[in-house]
Amino acid sequence: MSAAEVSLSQQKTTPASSPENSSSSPSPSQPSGNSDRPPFNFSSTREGVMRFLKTDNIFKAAVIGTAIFILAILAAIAVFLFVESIPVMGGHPQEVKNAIEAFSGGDFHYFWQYAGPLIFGTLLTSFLALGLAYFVAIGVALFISEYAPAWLSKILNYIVDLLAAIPSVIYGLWGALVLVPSSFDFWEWVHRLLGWIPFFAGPVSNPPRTVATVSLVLALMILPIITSVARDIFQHTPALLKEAAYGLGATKWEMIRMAVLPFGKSGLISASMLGLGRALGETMVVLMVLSPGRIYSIHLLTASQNQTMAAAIASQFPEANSMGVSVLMTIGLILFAIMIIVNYAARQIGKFPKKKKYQKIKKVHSSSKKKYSLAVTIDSNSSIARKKPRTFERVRKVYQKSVRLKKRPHVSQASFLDKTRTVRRKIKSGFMQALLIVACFVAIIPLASILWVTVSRGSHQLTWYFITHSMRGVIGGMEPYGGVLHALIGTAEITGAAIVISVPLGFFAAVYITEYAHQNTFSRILSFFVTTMSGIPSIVAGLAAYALFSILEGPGSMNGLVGGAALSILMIPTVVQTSEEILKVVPRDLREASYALGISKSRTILKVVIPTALPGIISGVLLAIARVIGETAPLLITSGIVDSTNFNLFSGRMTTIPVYIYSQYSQGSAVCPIIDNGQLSRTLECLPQIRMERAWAAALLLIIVVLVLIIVGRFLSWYFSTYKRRARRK
Amino acid sequence: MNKKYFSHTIKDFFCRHKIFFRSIALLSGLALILSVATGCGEDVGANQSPLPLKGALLPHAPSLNGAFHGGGASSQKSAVDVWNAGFMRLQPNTQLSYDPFGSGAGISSFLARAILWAGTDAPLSALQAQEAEQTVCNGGVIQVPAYSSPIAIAYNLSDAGLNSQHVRLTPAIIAQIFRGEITKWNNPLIQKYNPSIADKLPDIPIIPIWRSDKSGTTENFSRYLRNTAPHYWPYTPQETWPTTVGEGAQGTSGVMQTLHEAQGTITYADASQTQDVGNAAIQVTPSNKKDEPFYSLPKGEGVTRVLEKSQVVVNGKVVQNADMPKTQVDIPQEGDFTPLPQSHIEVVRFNYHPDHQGDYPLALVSYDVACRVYQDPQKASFVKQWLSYVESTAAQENSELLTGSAPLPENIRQQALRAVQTIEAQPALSDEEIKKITSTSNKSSQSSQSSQSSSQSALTPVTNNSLKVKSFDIKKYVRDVHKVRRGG
Repeated sequence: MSAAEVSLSQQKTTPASSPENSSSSPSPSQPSGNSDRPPFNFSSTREGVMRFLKTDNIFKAAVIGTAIFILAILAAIAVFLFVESIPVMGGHPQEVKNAIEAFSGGDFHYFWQYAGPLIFGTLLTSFLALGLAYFVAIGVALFISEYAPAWLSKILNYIVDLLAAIPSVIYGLWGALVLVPSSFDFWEWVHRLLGWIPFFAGPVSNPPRTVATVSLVLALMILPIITSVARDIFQHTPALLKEAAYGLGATKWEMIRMAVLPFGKSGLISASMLGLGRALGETMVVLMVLSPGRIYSIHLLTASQNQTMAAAIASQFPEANSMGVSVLMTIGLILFAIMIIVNYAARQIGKFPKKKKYQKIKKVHSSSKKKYSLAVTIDSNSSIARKKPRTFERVRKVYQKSVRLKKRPHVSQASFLDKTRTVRRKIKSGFMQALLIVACFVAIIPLASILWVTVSRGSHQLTWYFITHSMRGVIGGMEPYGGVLHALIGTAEITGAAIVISVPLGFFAAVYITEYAHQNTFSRILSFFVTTMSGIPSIVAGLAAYALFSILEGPGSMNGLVGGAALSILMIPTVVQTSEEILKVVPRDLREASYALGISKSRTILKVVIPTALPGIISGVLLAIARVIGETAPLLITSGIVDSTNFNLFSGRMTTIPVYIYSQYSQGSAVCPIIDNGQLSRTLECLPQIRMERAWAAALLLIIVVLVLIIVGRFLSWYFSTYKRRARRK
Repeated sequence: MNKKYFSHTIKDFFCRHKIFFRSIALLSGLALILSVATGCGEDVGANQSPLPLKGALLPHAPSLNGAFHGGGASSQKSAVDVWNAGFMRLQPNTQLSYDPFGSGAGISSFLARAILWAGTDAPLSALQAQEAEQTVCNGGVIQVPAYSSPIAIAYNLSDAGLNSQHVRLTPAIIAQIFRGEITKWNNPLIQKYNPSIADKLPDIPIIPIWRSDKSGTTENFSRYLRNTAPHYWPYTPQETWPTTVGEGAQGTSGVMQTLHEAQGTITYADASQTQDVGNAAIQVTPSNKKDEPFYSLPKGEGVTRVLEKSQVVVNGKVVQNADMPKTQVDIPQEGDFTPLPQSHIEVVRFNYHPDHQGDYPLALVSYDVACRVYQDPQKASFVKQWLSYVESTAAQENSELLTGSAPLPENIRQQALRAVQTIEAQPALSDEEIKKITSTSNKSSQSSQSSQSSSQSALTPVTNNSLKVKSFDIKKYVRDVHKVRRGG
């Protein structure tokens, strides 16, 4: 106790005394002085150990260790899936055949026969969804960043954030219960209009549980994701670029085409890849909406044609024997591989055109320097050309684009102010503006419908009783109606476990990337794999966690911790990426000031960098939680379904709210007994549709929880940022 | 470089940084909340149903305490809810949970000792039974029918006003509809069997709807068609639906949802879910060819009567109704595996040609799988009491009333109850005890060779050699164990 106090007080005094010490005695002499002391002197040993265990070293080791650990996790996912899928490749052929025949109703006998249509179906639905969502999302993002007044874009931002966090199971509910029954006429109209295209040929199925409907729901799901990323990119378009475009006499739409869109191009590709990743791995929507088939087909309007990999895994997993599970693990592995390929391709696409364009510009530049005169004038006026050559280059690009837009390669400024074409250009701009507003409505109407349906159908059952009771002792549709308490507790514990696992890991990895690795190879590999990890389909994360615990605890082990592990796989990349972004934003000056005071690196990070970044990190983590809290598919296969409250994370099954929603939906209508005894029928109340009501009420509860998380996250980041400003003013 | 200045120790790292303090405080706060919540008691948020549920325990049943987990077939879920509520009245200190994640996962969890008993729509295959005997249930496996429910052929013709009428369908017509060979509701074949409503049958396409997930309902329906209309239904009964004609949907609720969404749809589903749509009356051909075929509706009592007349097979031997007309496709019994004599693997073979008016031969039978011997006496007592309760008249009547299931008939229940009575607790043997048994059986038996093998198989019935397994004598094994325990 006293020793600790002494050491504490010594350390407290260090800053004051250190300058004198450093001036009086040079540090190299210090170690030799130590070695003169008797070897068994306690304090010297302690000092030696202390020096070895310098905070700096420990901290660095911890940070690098975390970074390596994250790579190890990713490797482990692949390895576990691979180990579990070995029986398919190397096992008994007859057993594999039996499993495949059991999955395909005897149609197929070999693995690839079964997996091929699944791969095709997955790619078909997700690319279709991306195609549908991409342009609308960009339209909405442009509207938010360029057209909408500040107050409107603020509201829209909130809505987009909320929608991005709406759990897929709610989209599935909406698709299956609202969209499918009401969309037959629409698809028939599409068929009449576009029936000559092979995609829309073929009989229109009624009810339309088709690839077209699924893709539509998937598009709605990924729309907010693409929108939010695209919006962030557009909002960061340098004002200078825009001003330059306006300065050239461009209309608003021309400005967007010249400045905003080119600026955000690579970002848009990564945004769409994010959306594609989510569509590829989406399970619940496909499971609940699509009528699956087993063939290669492009007839989008006909049911029972295709099936996706994720949905196949989720629907076959519960009834699969051990070989069946291996087959599904192999399919999960393939899905994982597809994700990595897509990610890698996205990176390459993001890089490729940039270089090409740059070269082109150079060529043009060398051929005729005249063209740039205007851009240079604008630029030299703002005197940025000298300071920021890259921006300068961009303005050049803009000018070059504008020239191309007019299809006159060698024109001067005058052409932009061409009076004869002004009206046409203005009309075009206005038309595009109208189109963007329409895109906004197109996006918002179905999403509003989802929210409205959830609120109107769920608010009736969402009572205090519902929140404070579990489903234990509930029979059919009779009173007591039961509630969601066990799922709430399960959600809290499983999400808590995911936070405890993922936040420290993700955070330290981000610290490594921003503070220690100065763009070295390892950090580039790390950030590539983190991006890859962010694309891991949730069902694959579930499979990986299941495989891990099967190996550790024996097959078939399901408990809350497995679910927590699965969720943390999904959370880590989000935490790494948000923390990285925010740590990068921390001004370099602060660090420099700290170093100038002679403070060690670890101390600088802990005392200066992290406190500055903390509010941003917290809000990032909250948003990550909001995303992860609605995951259904991985928890279905890792944590199971129960009716009673289970507090123990480490044993026994645990239900979360999304799983509760799905299980209530999948049990269907309840039986209401016809009882002859008049006395009974008077005391008993019974609702046949109670399970659907419970599902909607739980959906509403989940949306409220997500909304609260988002609002708290936003509030924290707002509060701390203004707090800082206020403090600085004082 | 100044030593003092730069050497911050671990202590410094953990004690002087507010962030760490705060995060530790936050974590411990969370842990505190959780622990407080855990301390509230195990039965948080439970409901008490006001229903007067009947049922009684076995005589001299000890009271139980603790939580017991089961899982498996989702078809049993609602019945288990009812039984659970009734069982709770009798054993108020127990907590019972049933995870309806599917038959296959139920069996895997059972084999991994994650659950005490499993519900399954498909009876254990030979391979699974062998695996169970070798891993979790060294003292034998018990599989008894627990739940049965009529499968209805449901359709939606509400616009034509036919939902309240029962359209009559023969197995051959049903098979052709689900294969996509009969495509219109006003098909002459359907009209022929429905003379009274022939003109009301609309000219709209028939949309067959099937389960896209694996399910016992599918397998039972497919087996029904294979046995009653073999020319029209060439598929081997499986849990996966064999064709892709029409539309597939996930789970019973998905199927019913799809049925409601369009006119002219038809599907097969648990009869408890089809109360608000049309239910077809299916044609039943009696075994006696002279009797006229009759039409029956999916009613529980019809299924119960059929079950009464169905074959019951225990460990591969027919024990009841051996004279039942032969079925074409039985529940598969692949492999030459012979169960342990103390195992009780009971399978019901449906009688697809019952004679009685109103008999309904299209139903799902779901089984419960458990071990005969548990090491923990509490667990053994629980499984014994629970399965006895499930097989009791009262429990079956409760589930009939509240879930629309078909109560199992007396003969099947008695058969099952006899097996359930043999469930017992048998603590694991220590190494010394094993040695003692080996030595005592060596001394006591006359031919040391055979007893050696028998005692070996007693201790490790993991042998694949069926001869060894057959020669194992359970009574002697129990006697030996008791001797050792008594110190003899």
